[in-house]
Amino acid sequence: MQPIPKAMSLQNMKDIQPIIDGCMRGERAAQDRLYKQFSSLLYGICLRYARNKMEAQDVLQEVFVKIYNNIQSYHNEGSFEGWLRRIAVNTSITNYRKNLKHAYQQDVDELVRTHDEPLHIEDLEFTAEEMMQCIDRLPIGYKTVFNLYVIEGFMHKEISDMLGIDVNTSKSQLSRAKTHLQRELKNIATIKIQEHV
Amino acid sequence: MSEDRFFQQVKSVMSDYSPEVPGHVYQGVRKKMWWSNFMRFDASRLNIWYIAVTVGVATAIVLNVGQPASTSADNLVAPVSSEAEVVVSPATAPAMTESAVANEPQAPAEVSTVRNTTVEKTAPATSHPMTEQKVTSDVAEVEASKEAEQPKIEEPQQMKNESQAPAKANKRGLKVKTYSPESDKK
Repeated sequence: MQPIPKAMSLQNMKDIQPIIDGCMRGERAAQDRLYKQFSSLLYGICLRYARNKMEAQDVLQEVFVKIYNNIQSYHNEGSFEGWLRRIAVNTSITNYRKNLKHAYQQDVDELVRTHDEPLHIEDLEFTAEEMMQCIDRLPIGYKTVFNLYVIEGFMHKEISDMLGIDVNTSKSQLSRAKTHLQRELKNIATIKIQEHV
Repeated sequence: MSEDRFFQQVKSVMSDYSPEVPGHVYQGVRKKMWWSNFMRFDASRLNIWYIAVTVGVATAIVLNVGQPASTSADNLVAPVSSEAEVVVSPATAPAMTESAVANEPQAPAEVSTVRNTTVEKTAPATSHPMTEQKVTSDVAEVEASKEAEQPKIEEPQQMKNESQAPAKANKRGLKVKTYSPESDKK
């Protein structure tokens, strides 16, 4: 992925500043524009952490209510998009912890089916939808640790604090998530190759 | 190293993943925002705090209005008050009303007249002897008329017969059993 040029991101900030100001004044039109601009991105984050689409949509609604109610606490320090992402991730984690009891059973069930196989799929290309499809099939515990470590860039210590688990649990869940994901991606790649042939 | 490559690959694909959001989600956001605003105090908007205060004030008014209404109803005996309006002499009435108003400036005019009548009633020495007589006679008349108005409840024929039954039986020399719950238990 190409990084966004600095000039462009500054232009983006100039565009977004009136929207932020409007939201701070509680203007409905500004809130609508903010939703239009960022809802897809934040929905993507919610989908990665949620069990299903319905849950992701509920979390997204909560995220926007939090954004509108707490936009006063954004003081133009750091990127606005980063601030929004953090709210989405934190809300998703809160939702995950709320449903932790149900998640545990699913993890145990999935552990039985996990096999460690050496797979090399780094050279293959996958679309975001294909990746999402595979991430979605991960048990919720693996999925959460994987998202936090790989996409959000948190360390195992931070993840263990956020989720209330041991550091070693976080490491082992990441390892299993990786194996699981690679196997799923390999299956998708095999199907694609067979379709081409 | 291989792990890093795989993770980089996933991150690059997934970090900007932005699927389309269904339309109904924003309606939910607006509903939640409305509720959130409604539950939070804001002087410029209708919210639950205003409603709570309004309900509280209305309840307090209802409770407070209920109590004086009952006490004044006790004091206000219609014939006495109507009579008092006629009886109070023009010379003494303004002075008494003024004193009542001075003591309680917010009290309604009706209350002051009622108090005047009470004074007339309980202090016969200050009032005219003719007035005293008239008031008492009026009260007696009212009570008499009330009694006259009350319909006489006629005893049903069956009950009459039942009440006369033991006397008749005694005349014939028969024993009369009267019903009681204790005998029924036995």
